[in-house]
Amino acid sequence: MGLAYTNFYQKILTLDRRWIFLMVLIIAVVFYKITIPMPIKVTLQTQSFYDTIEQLKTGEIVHITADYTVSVVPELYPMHKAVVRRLFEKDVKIIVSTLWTEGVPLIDRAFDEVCAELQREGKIKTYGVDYINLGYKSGSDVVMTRLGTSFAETFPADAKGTPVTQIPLMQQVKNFDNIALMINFSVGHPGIREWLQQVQRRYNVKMLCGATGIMSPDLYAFYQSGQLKGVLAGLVGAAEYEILLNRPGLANAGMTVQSFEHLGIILLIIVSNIAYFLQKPKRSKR
Amino acid sequence: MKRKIPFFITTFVGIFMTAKFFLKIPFVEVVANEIEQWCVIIVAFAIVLGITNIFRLNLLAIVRHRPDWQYKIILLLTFLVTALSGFIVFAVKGDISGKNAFTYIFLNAYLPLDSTMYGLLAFYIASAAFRAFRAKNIESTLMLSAAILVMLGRVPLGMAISDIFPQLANWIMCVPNSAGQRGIIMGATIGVIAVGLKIILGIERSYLRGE
Amino acid sequence: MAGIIGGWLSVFFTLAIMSFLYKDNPIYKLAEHVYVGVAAGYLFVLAVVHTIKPNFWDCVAPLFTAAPGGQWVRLGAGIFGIMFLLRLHKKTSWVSSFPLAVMVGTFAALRMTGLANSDLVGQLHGTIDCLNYKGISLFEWGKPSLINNLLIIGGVISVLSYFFFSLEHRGVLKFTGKTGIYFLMITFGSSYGYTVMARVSVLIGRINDINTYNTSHYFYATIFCAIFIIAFLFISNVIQKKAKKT
Repeated sequence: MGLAYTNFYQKILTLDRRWIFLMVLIIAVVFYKITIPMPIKVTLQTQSFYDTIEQLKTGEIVHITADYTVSVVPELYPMHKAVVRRLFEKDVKIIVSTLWTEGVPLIDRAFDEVCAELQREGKIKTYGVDYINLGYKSGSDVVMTRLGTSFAETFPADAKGTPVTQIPLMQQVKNFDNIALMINFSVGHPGIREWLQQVQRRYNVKMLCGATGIMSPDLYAFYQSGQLKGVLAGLVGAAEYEILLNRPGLANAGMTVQSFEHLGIILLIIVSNIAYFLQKPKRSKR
Repeated sequence: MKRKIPFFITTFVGIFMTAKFFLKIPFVEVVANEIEQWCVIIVAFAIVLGITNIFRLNLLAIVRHRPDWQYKIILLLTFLVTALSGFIVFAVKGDISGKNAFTYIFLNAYLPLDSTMYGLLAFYIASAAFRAFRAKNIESTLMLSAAILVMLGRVPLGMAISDIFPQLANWIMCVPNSAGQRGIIMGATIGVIAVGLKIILGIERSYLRGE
Repeated sequence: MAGIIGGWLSVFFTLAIMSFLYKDNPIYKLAEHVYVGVAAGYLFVLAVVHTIKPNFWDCVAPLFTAAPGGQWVRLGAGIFGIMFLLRLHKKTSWVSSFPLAVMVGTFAALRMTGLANSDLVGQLHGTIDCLNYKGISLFEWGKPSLINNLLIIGGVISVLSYFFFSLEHRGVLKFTGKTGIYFLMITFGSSYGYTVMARVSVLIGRINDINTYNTSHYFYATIFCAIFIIAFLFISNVIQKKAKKT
């Protein structure tokens, strides 16, 4: 009987990992269709992110850096779009650039979708006057310090190839002295850590960040030290921001799957530990 | 000379870039600004070098019939199709944004492939948790407990079960996690400063090995 | 029509990559090589169009056409860039060490000063700020409070002492080093929790796209692609087993 239990626990511990993959897939597919309304508690970091944006005045210029790839679109695009929309609602002007090649079409997509929504509400935003896409530039840290000297020299043309000297919005911007706030959406290197190192303290720029779940744990230290004024941490952070804006969207839609996937993984950890410890005394007796 | 001149260049460039940070002298700023501009362009050429090298290595693999050489043909074909579509669109329109063949390839080939590659990790992370997370001693129990509390506390399900989970998760992130991350960040920074100084002063020369 | 084909491509590539979860197979290898090819092509175009053209070519082209606005100094950057490309040939690869030296020197200096300013001084500032006890309560969950601040200071010191290897870890240093390990374990555990959240979010995005293309407008692309891939895997499995028997 003891041997049977030992074999059972060993079978659990040596389970083919494809059964675990199948479990993860089934949870994702089943709970994708089911939406269970659950409360979302807004953290201090998200609240600070929201408050900093709300303090912006009409006509101020914000620099958004969309330093992320298509692979993290589910996490960062909802917050990117929500932020762009909120800035437009406050009549704040937006300059967007990216240090990742894949960021270029995502910037266009966010602007196109938000402008289309605002147009349906009767608000028009003009490219070159209210917002501009400066596109991609290679060089990571060097680009960041170059922007501290001159935006125009670093980005001589926008993403469409128009010289920035011909663009009205860029006439108002020489360097970071003219930027009221910088918002970075970051997936890795180059990203928020490099912006903090090269720009934040050096040019005294107020900075916010929306980061993937993987990067977020690092950023709590920077929030606590005051170098970051707010952090949206992963998809949950995006969902919290949507709640604060009273506009649940893409991020909130994924919360049910997120919750049950986490529960599934926690149960896996508990089951494997129970099997390990129940098996252990029998192994040590031998 | 082949090895000495690069060291002089590194030292010269490093000193000017460091001086720009501390000094507000116009001459230093002008030289450092131009060095930065050069660097932006050189990095772009480095990207071109990397891509050209990928092309060269895969072409060699096809010519020499290395394992999976048939797939390399597909790799090169897709590379040529993507690159050519981008340059043709740019030559005709002067701008690669908007609806065109280049963006079509990006949205319907690159986006799903890149996203799914990363999405696979969700499965592997679950499998790794099942196999590796064991509460064998105090340290691993602490790690396990922190992981479980954060996973539960940061999702609405944890918030629905009890208020204590989100509070605990937030406390873990704001206090012990911040302290640990700060210690790692500061320790790593001291290391980077040491290596940076060694490179600029020419003590560290491994980056030119193999020339 | 292009949209429908695009949808089918998107679903096929998604499921092809996911087929790796069962085992490595030709469909996955095909998708993998398409991925590398498209990524390389995309990066190549953007490096040229967004950086080389505006930052270099547009600055030096006027020099060749006698138009105003040309910058002679910028020509040097192009020369260094071409020197980098000479790395491809064994006999000329030594030339690439010159532009490499420019890059290494620049980034070493930027990293050194940037990290010292932000990650060392900034973080030290944040830690010393924790000594400020005025206007804060004794304890609050996740907000600045006396106990939390003391824990942060203690945690930073103990983690730094764990990484201090110039002295043997004995006595007080051993105690603080051990405490540092506990803080580090909590840090790694919380990082793992957030990593799970991040990866699951990406999976949700893929499920969302697969679901979008599983409609009559896209002729149920998901179902047909899934049937094709599963059938392919099943048949290749059977063929492999037969080959092994023989």
